[in-house]
Amino acid sequence: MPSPHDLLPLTHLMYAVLLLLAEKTDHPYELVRRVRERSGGLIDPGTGSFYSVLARAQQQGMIRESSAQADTRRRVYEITPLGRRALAAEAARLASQVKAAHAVLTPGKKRT
Amino acid sequence: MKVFRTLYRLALRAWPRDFRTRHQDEALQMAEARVREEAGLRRALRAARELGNALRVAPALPSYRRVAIVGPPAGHTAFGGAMPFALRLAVRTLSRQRTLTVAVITTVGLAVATNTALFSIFDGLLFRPLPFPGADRIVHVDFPAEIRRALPPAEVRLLTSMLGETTLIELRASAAPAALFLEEGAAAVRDWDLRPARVSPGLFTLLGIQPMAGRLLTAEDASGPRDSATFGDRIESVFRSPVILISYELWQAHFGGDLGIIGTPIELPGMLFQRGPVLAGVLPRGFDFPGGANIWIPTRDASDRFDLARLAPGASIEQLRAALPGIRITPLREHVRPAGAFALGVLLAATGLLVLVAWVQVAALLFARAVGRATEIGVRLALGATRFRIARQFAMEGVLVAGAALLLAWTLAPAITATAVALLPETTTRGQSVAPDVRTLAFAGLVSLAGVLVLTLVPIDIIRRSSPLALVRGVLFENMRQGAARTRTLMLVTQICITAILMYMAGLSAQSYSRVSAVDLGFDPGRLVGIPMPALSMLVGGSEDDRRASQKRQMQQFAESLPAIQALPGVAAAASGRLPLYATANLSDQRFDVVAESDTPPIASARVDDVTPDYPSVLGLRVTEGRVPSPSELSSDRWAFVNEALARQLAHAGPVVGRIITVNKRQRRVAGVVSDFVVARPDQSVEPVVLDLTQAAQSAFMLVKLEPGLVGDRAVAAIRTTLDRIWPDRASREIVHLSALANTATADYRSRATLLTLIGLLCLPLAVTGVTGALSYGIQQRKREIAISVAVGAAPNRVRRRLVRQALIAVGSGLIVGTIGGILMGRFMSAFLFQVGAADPFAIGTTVTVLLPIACVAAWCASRRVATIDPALALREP
Repeated sequence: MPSPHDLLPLTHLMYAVLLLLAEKTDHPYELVRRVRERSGGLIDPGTGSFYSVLARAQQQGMIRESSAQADTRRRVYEITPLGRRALAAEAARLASQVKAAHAVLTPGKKRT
Repeated sequence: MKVFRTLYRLALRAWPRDFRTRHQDEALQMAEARVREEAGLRRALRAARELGNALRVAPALPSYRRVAIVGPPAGHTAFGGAMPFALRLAVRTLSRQRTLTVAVITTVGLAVATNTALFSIFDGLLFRPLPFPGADRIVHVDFPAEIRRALPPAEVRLLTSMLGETTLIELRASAAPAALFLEEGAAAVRDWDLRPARVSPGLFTLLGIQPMAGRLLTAEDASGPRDSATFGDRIESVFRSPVILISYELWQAHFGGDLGIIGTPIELPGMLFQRGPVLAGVLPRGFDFPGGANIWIPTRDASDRFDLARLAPGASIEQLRAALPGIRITPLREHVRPAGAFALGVLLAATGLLVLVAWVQVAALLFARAVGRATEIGVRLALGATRFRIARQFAMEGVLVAGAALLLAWTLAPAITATAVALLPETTTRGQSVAPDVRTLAFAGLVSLAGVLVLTLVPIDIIRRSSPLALVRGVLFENMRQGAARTRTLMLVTQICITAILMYMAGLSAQSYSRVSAVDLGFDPGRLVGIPMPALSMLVGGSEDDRRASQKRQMQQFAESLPAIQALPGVAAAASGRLPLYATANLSDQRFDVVAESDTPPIASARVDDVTPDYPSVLGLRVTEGRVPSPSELSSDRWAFVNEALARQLAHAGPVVGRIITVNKRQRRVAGVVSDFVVARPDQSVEPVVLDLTQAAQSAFMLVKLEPGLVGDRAVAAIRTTLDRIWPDRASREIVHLSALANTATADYRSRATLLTLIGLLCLPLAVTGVTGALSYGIQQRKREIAISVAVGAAPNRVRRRLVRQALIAVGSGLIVGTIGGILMGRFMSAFLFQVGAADPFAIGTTVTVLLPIACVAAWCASRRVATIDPALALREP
């Protein structure tokens, strides 16, 4: 079982996909729509790039095809425990990055 | 939008096939929807972005190799990339079944190599044009001694001059193997394997041969100053500085290919040269004309004494024959063609059998493989592989196996050819160099490849007939396994049977050869030589006196010859009379009735020969009754010796010695009885012989007994010189060693025995592969049964013994059937057997004692696999 830290850092798109799948299982088309919506259009992946990310995430064991699929024509994906841990680790990494940035950028606070 | 859809589908072709299969519909739908969201120029930009994106990510997408069993991985199918995949899969499949693959390649390789070797011999000896440019214009010219003797000298002279002057011939040359060795050097000569030939310098121009290094012989080389040299008590004229050529092979083997020695005197062991001969040059690799020569010594070019000729441009062999009646003119290719065509016929038949054995073997192996792969075929069919794809897969494996086998064959064929040629008697090969070339390999390869292709059809047939479901469920598979085991056993029986037939035939031939060699000739040919004498000729034309004078001169020559030769040092004794074992067309084969009393029916029919009184003692015959008449008795009466065979028949009518018998209308008194001896062929029964005693040596041959050792050998040259002196124009050039005649008489038997034994021996490794293969296959198929036996406590050795016993039952059946087949074949061969019946205990014994132990060992070794079966694992297998 690979450590979630081995998978870091995640790309924006990967992070977004994992985040959305952590909320609920979804199919690719809907996922792309939600990614664009959440990011306010900042992240707008091409179809190919999106599938590439999906395939990589699946290969690395962070997501998998859901066993409970209502519609056989559409593949529904869900996040795996590894995916969740990787997401948490990435969030923590980003948080520490943000904290470090704040420390530098906030006026009146000096490094000791 | 339709254009975008088409383009996007095309772009998706770049994706790995399995990934594409899973996601392409969804991806296309999504891309389409996203393009639709935009309008105008933005829509076009979006479409372009989507297309580029689909292509850009393709290399990063994963391909799932685990589904390769259905077909090639994605990325290889776009433009006919399926072949490399099939190749890879074939390599993988073959390397997984390594033992089987090695067995198939070895068997096919060995069979193709043998096939190539034997076909090369056929081709080389019978079909291939001689390796000289314009060889079809080279003829062998023979003015046979018997015709020379039969014709009047004037006519002989006329023919000889015509032969020398005809414009139908462009180039003339002579070439003959020579014996130029001293006895002390014999061992060294054998070590060096020196085979000298005396050739006229024109030979090489005639044959169109260029030297590899140095130069060819010139007319000066053949006519250089000579010295008289004394060898023991004999004086010979030898070249002061002999010039020779040597073969490339000799140059490499003994002079290390040293270019520096060319043009300098070289040391050769044991040769009759006063000083080291000068090496003029080295002939090209493989050139060994005539008769496997490797040293060429010049002899004078003589326009009337030659045996090879190149026809003038525009002249035909028929024209030459018409112009020179009585002279035998044959194309050189026909002349060097072996006389023993039967030996080659046997070779062809035996090759056919051998190839059959090999194919049975290969068929068995490939069949086993195909059956063993039924499940695999079933699964692939079920997963959607087309039947064509699977057939192609088998074909690819076949091509790989055949390729490897051909490579192996190409490596082995030269060695096998060389061995076979070395084993063949010289009368068959005539010392010709025979080596496999691309032509023969192509022929043998094609025959073998055709076999492989046919055998590839076996698995294809299984595919065609079986439904995937039946194959996967194993219903058909089980039935086929049982059928296959039966077929496998049948094939083993067939193979052993054919091997046994070949071994049996080899045994019969060997037995015949040993019997015919052991035949008591009635004399010891060791130190005997025969010299054909010129025939008495009648002068045509001229006056009566001239004719009388000619006849008188000839009588004198005859009368002089015998005492002159008897007086030579090194000659123990000499007589005039028939030369035993010497068979030529000119020798009368006529038998005459022997009549004991007048007006009584003939007692026997016998050969009659004029001999001088000491003929029996020269030949070494025992005089069992009577005695040799004294010269005075001989001049007063006609006396004859009879052999024991005739004496036995005469004895019925009273005492033999002193009896008057009438043969060919002439009366003789029987002086005595001599022991039986072989007159014509050792494989024919002894026949009655009458030896007419005469004091005048007028017989066709002179029989000379040489002193042992060196002196005797030197005497041969002295005999030649003496005959040349007495018969200046008509002396025979031919001096025949009786031991050589005895060898030639048995050559047919020897060649048959050698060839069949060789082929039988080549069959043995195939038989071993057959037994091993059959047993290994049996063990594989009966793994569960063996596992259960072992699990319930049977000792592995016991299981092994049981398996070996079962395999040996098949071997035994093959042996029995094969031996019976061999006996039947023996009946067909009976004309070529000597004192050996079709059912020969020796041949049966040899076949069984060679084949059975080998089969036992092979079976026991193959059964080692039993020990590798782990019951726990074997029983868990589906």
